[in-house]
Amino acid sequence: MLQEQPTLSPELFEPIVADTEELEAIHRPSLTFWQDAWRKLRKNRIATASMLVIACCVLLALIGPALVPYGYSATDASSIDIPPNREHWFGTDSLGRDLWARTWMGARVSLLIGFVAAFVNSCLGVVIGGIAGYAGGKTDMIIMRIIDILYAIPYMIVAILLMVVLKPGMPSIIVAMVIIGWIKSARLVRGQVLSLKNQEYVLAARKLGASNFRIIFRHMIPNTLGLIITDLTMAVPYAIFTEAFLSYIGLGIQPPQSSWGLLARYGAQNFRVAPFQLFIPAVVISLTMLSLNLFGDGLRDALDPKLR
Amino acid sequence: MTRYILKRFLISLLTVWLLVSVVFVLVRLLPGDPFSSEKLTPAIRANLEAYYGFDQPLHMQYFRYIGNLLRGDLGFSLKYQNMPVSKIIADSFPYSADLGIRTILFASLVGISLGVIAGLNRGKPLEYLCIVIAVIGISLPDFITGSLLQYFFGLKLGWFPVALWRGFRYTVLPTLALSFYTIALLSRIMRTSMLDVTGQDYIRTARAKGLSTFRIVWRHQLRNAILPVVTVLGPITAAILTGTFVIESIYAIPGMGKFYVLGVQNLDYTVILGLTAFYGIFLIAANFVVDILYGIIDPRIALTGRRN
Repeated sequence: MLQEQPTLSPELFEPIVADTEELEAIHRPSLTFWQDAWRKLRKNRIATASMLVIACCVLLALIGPALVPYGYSATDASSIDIPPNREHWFGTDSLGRDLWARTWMGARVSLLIGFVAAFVNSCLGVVIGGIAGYAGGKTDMIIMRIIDILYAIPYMIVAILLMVVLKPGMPSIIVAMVIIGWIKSARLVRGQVLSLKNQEYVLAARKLGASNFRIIFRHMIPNTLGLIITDLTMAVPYAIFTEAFLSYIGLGIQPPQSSWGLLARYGAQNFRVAPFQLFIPAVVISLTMLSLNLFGDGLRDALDPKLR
Repeated sequence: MTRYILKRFLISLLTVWLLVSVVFVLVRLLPGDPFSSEKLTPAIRANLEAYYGFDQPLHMQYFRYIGNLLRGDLGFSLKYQNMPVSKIIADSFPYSADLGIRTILFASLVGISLGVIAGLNRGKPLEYLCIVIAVIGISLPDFITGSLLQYFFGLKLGWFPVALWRGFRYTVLPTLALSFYTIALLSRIMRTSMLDVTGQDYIRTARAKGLSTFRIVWRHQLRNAILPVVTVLGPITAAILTGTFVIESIYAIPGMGKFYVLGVQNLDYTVILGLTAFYGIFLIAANFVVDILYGIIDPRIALTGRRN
């Protein structure tokens, strides 16, 4: 069957005006590096979940001990080794101390040590590695030889020795971790600065008469920041582990103070009577370290310019 | 090659000297002294101090200490009567070495296999399973895996003995507990390196030649992918060594780690000193061997250059 052909008339056509302005316009909002990283991080479900777990943990460390009417070091001879119940959410230990209060008081100590030690390590590493990489020549050689020698000294052994000498407590643990802990990030930053130094835009900045100060703060630091932040995130779980390890072998935080390593130690000693005393710190430590590691992985992917 | 080995050897020697000196200074700075806990008359005390050389000026003590060290004489334990530190090491080291070697063998086998499986199954559930195992292994501190394994398989299920070291059945749980971290680290490295190798030209050539998949994986991929594993042998040795401190304490294995922790808790200076020197020299020597091995195995490493 034949269809009726529509008649084509000039009115039906309309000329396309080539509007170069319109063609060149950027329609999507341009993202800065950090906006893009944030967007990628939020799209990564595992990293987001880890971030939430870490946030919960920090929140509980802040308000947790205040939620129960028991002090973290208050002993109660009438309630010893009680499993978790309505009054004592995490139960009590062999001296009748409330484990909910102790766990989150311990979280304060462990997290604080973890974050502070990792942060100080990174700062030292950035300064020393940055100087070595940027200055080059003799300065670099001397710093690198010192690093070579210190790098060969076993980290844990130095930490243990220092803890034997220093007064036990939070500041000593941080000092013991920092004393050779900065080496790893120093090596990392030096490598990065070394490769950035020879980039064309740094050469251009120099030829345009930018001062060293400006080159370091405008070009070097922003370009190493991704690397440093990733390194920092990965250093936090390691620092938490080190504190727990030291407290576990009896060298770190001393009772009646509380820390995760200490709780795990008493839990392990007492698990025949009260296994929950081991399980609770085990779950809390593992979950926190797991989240920090996974978050660090996600952050590394998000900050990697090659994956953009 | 000779220059490279010589240079690394010198650095190692310097490190050993530095470590030993630091140990000496730190131990002399310790608060309290080993005789303070016992009730002694001043005369006996003076005799004891003269016997151990504590009455001499510090630099004389230092030379005496270095001289004794060179002769392998590490002094007597201050707590156990008539027990030379060298004898403690000689008696306990075989246990630690046994545990360490078992761990390295088991963990290498499992870790490398997991890494290869993950690398060959890119994007499949099997890969994610391997990644999950790796992340969990890195996040669980060994004192927690040690205690949990002891609780479940030793106490609850009764499959293996809870403690001591008297035969194969006794070695299973400690070896397993100590292996987690190494398995995780090795499988991570192996997976990345398998993925790197898969994209190489020689793999495509091998495939184009019509070789079987098994032959490609076994002869070409695995051999090249296993190289980076050598780089983590140093950190792995250090991790296993510090791991033995807690694992030996948890499972009551009479190894060096247990004596070290005990020595630290008893403030037994000579034991701490001697064992630290031994551990330090052992680890530095291990790092030296790994460096040389890496230089020999991978012809692409310029032996005169510095490490990555």
